[in-house]
Amino acid sequence: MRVLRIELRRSAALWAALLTVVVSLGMFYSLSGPWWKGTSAWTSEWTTLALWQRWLLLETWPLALGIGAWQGRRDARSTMDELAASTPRPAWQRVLPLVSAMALGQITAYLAIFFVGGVQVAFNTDYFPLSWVPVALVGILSTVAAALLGMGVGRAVPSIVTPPAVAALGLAGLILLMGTPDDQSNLHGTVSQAIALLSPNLGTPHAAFSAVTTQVNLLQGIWFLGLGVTGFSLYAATKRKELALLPALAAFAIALPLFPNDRAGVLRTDPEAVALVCADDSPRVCVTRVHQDSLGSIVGPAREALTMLAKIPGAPTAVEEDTTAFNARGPHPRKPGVVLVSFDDWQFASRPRDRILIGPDASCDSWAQTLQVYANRTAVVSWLEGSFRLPYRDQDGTLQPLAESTWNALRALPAAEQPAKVAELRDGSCSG
Amino acid sequence: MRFLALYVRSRKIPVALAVMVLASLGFWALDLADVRLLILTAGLGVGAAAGGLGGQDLDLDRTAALNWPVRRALHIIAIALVMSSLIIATDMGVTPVIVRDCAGLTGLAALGAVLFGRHLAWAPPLVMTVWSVILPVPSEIVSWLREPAASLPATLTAAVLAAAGLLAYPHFGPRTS
Repeated sequence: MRVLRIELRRSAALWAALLTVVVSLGMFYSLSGPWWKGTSAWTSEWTTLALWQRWLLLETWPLALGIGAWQGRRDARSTMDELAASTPRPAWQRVLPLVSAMALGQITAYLAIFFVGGVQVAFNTDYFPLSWVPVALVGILSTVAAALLGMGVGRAVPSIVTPPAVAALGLAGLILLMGTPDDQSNLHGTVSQAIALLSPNLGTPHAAFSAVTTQVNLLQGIWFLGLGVTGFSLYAATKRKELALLPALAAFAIALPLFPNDRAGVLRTDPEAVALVCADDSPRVCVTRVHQDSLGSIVGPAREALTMLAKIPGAPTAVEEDTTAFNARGPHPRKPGVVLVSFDDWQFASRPRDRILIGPDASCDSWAQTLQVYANRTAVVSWLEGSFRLPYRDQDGTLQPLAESTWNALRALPAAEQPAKVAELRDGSCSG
Repeated sequence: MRFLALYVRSRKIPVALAVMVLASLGFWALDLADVRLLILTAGLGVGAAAGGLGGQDLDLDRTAALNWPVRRALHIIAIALVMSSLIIATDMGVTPVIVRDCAGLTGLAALGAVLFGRHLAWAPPLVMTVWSVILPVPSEIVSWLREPAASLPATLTAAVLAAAGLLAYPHFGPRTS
């Protein structure tokens, strides 16, 4: 224990931990990025916290590699290998305290960042799945493996160029392996999803509904364990250093063929997270288990909207949360008789009642078609409320006249035909 | 000639050159004209060369009756020139951007040598590289490495860094610890 304490003081372990925490939190707090947006923000759910922290490894993993190499190189410069080899004590016993100190530094840094996020998550959600635990554990294992691998490489190649070189190459490698929502990597489909899984970064989380599959957690665990053992052996071995590469090669040979080759094999939908929780009484208003906290705030507006909609034929009778990841551009799923809503839809988040009245999105190709759909929906809302009102923000003043003419045309119809026309406008898509 | 041979050896110039050539070769072999990879190549090469900004025994060096400021200045100018010509040779980027980035990064490496000594001289250029590659901050000054050639603030930032390195390193020399 005393040696460990000394090694903690004289090695780069604590500096590495401090630097990792400062870089990670500095990035999250000084910049407004996707990590603050919507329901997949890093402080919103346990799963998204774990995944965002894995995403952070994009920069902290090469950092750990570089600092490890700096440490390993420094140790090699002491030039006492021969002296150490002359003692009967095994080499691994001698290096154990320093290795433990470095690993301890990495683990502490990872937990510290997780703690900062976790305290906020605990206030933001009631949903506590356990599927994030392996994700965080594999993340911790990967940073420890990075530090050990760096130490091994720094020891084996004790050149002054080694630390910057491994850090830069590590970063270049992680960028090349960066996964995207589809099954290709970031750089023009250079590598497949299976190879991308060799990186500790699992990509940006897109919804709070997902969980990492057990297969991926397990295989990545094996892969980083192999890397770590190789790093440790490279660092500890005094002869036959080439044997140290075996664990990493074995882990590579096991993991790579078994990694799933599509995104669906990496992130599965967590059935418990998307289970619908409904409000008492009718009409039916349901949200997912993840967003249970928000149910109370939307029941009122949702029921009010459903009551207003009852005037039109074939009106929806329920409001449910959409359990697919919300994509602001792509086509939105529809369900007959049900209004699907998403908390990632800013329109719904700010004015839920209006969003339900407006009707399903009609993802149009051209702005002219979108504008016509907006005008139609304005007429729908105005008819339901009895007076003209724009539920959209009219950015350049083109919507107002178009919407007024649609509204006047609607009112000119005989009173008996109006409800059917309103239903048609509300369901309408991009016909123009 | 004898001085040059000894200087090259003590400043680890063969290793730095090897890393620069290998990094450029790797960049060329990947054949992805992505500005992030270009920055990483430059950062890797300049970071490797930064290890040579200082010798084995600086106090002994300084007792020699040699015009060190001129030699130090030539050394860092050579780093920037060699790195940018190697990347230009890959034909995968815009020449003004390459020259700007290499000059600015070399200035950072020189400042790193003055402030931290040669063992950590690679840290400033590499941290800058990593920062720009991962975080495209919407500021032409902060993300000067990534801006297009026409960006005046980016060019000015690089020029300031290069000038600061070119003035500070020859004058003060690497930090002795």
